[in-house]
Amino acid sequence: MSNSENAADTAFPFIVHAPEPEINITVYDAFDQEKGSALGGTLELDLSPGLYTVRSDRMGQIEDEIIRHGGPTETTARLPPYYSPAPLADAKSSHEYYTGPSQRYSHEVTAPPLGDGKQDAQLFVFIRATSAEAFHGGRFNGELSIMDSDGNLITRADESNTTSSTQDGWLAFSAKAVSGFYIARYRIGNFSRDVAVFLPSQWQTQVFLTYHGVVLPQGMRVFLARPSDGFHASDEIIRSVDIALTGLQNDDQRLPGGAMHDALHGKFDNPMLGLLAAHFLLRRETPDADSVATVLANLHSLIPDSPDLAALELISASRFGEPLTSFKVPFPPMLRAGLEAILALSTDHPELVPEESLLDRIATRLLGDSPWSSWESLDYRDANTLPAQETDEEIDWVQAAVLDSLEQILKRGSSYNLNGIARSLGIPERTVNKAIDALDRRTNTDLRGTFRKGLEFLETSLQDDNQRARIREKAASLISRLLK
Amino acid sequence: MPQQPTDYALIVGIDDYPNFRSLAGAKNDAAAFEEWVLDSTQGGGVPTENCHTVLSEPDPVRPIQDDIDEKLEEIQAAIKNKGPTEVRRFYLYFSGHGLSSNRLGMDLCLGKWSRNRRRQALDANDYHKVVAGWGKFSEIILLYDCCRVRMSNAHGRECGLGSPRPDDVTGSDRYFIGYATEFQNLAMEAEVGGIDPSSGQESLVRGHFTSALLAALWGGAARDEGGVPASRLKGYLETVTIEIAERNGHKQKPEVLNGFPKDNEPVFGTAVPASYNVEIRFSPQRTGEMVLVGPDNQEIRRAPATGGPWRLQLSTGLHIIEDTVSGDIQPIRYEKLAGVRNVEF
Repeated sequence: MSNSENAADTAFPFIVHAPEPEINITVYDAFDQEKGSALGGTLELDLSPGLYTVRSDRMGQIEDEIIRHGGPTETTARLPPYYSPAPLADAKSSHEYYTGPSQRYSHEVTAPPLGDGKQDAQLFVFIRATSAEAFHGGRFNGELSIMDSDGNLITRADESNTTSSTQDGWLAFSAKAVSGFYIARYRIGNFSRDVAVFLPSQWQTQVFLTYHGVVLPQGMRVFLARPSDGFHASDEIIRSVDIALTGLQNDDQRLPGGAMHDALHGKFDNPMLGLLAAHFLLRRETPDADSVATVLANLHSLIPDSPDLAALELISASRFGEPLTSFKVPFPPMLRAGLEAILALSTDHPELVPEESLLDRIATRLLGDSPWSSWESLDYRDANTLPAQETDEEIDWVQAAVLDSLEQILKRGSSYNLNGIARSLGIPERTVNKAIDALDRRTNTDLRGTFRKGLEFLETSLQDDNQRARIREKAASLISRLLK
Repeated sequence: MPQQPTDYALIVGIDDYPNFRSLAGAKNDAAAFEEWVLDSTQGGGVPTENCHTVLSEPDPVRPIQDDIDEKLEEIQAAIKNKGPTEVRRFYLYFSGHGLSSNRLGMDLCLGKWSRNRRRQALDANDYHKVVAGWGKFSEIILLYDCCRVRMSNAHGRECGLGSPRPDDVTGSDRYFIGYATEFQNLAMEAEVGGIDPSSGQESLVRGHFTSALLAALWGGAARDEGGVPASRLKGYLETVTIEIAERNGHKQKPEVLNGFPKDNEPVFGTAVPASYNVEIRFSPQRTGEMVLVGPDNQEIRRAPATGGPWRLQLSTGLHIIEDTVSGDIQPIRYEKLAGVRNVEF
């Protein structure tokens, strides 16, 4: 046949049904021209005979099917493969040898309680390989510890407080706990990552991780369930939460299926769904105040002390132009979207991130490869821990980035604005100031003075070109010396 | 294609990241794209003096931002006094490491990039704004074969050229942006076999996205009358990048934004639909009849698998080989390879 687009002799109906509402279907012809697409529902086209590719796309997970179209065609697009660390019923790497133990140990404790006080919460951690074959009957490398909010070690997962199968490749940790904020630490070799974990009262916090030679915390999934319910591999809401987390990570604006409807109509009893729904609503260009208020009110009745809820209330106030002065977010929210919003707002409202608070100290150490708030570990009891840095470099990344920004100011002739630098780096302005102080101390210079006084003078009143050039040269030389 | 004096290109390939993880195929990719850009028989036809290529060097580490800004400045100077009919298309191709802070942008990592020097990257959005702000190019083609992994507190440098710029270019409908991956994902590279012509020894490593891009431009996505329309290039990249990645055991889904209207879209080069030689070998488990089907759903060959390998010449467009017993299907498409395309089925 000719490969011309207009080669149709006879066109026949080509009807494709989306297998689920949140799945985007696209039809391509044999020459990769898109013939049509639809989000959910049914796509109806008239196409000439030929080979067509029907693509299903759910939050970036895709599945293609080639269709021979020689007469009327009606088909349902395939479901894209679905991956999750949680052994959910239809996830591709779920196996009954993971589903069974994960459900069982979400109802049994394997470890002594966490914390001293009323044990009104639970923590359930399930780590598993993608398959028993992939685990090769090996052992779990790495280390998982739980610390309190001050960084004091509470427990470390080991043979005494976990149940595992080295044949199938899974490990379960399950304990009652005092509700509140904890830090989970995953150490692999010389690198360790800390993750914010908040255990709300009257809820079981379920953490699922994939193991592939090492634990992969960046893909972690966290769900909340009533302790009496435990984990159910076939729970549709958990599946929606799981997919929505991928969407949040990928900046996708869609919440699967009827999940948003459930969230808006107060039907959810899984607070994680409410947290995600609120984030999705607040990301919209014009968020609906009533919908946001409804979801936040529901969350208030379920997890009133959650830092994630506090962060959402702060974001909501910011989006709707309300004053932010009364807000306090004592601990990092679990969802990175909330944490980054707090840090962004703190450039204009420094009181949101009090000096030396946990938020302040982790601001320069954040890891961005996960929907969860995680950061390179630090010694919480050492107030002088510096931002993460490579050993072969003399200055840390904040100092390097500040110098870099100052260099840009010089080059572009833009104004000296530490708040702008802080905003572009996503860190508090105080941290930028500290970096400049450190640079001044290191080199016995007056970087701030040179820039602020010099450039302001240069911009506003200095008319002599030679003097202007000398000031610029001095500033450039300072930067170049420091960046060496 | 005759030379296109109205077109300009800036091509960057960075393998050398001494303080991070060096790559092996970015310079190869940039050189291969440059070959297409400069080719005046079927390729882009960009005159040599309009094409600026920057390849990395390890010691001292190059390029730095100034190296790239200087090339861009040369292009700016070259078009400054030209009228609307004298300036048409701008290609920016980058192959190297990349990061992304949001869905609509990315940072292109320079050789000095490291976790401590995380501003040693170029803000691709800002460079786009600068070029668009010149108001000269009616077609802006941006191709990024790099990762879009997110890193906190990382934001690339803005373009060093001070020019009046519009606040935002997202409303413009005169651009084509090819990202090798979707936001948050890794772009992969793989050995494609053969000998590196530059060294005569090393295996050639090429990004999956650039492999698909070059196959498309050299005829894989060409229309009958010659040339590759933007809409076909988009579809080809979206399909074939995934297939190449899967064959190498990777997952990689490109994201292509085509801002051109269908009735007035750019056509790249003049390549005609490519033909290529294929050898299809059947697994011993396949014993029934096999069918090769062409893009128009017409059978090209039907024979038992036991009859040995099939040697054929195919043209562009999707073909499938189908096992009539199991119903298994395998797609076959043109890819730019030297010699015979081997298909195991």
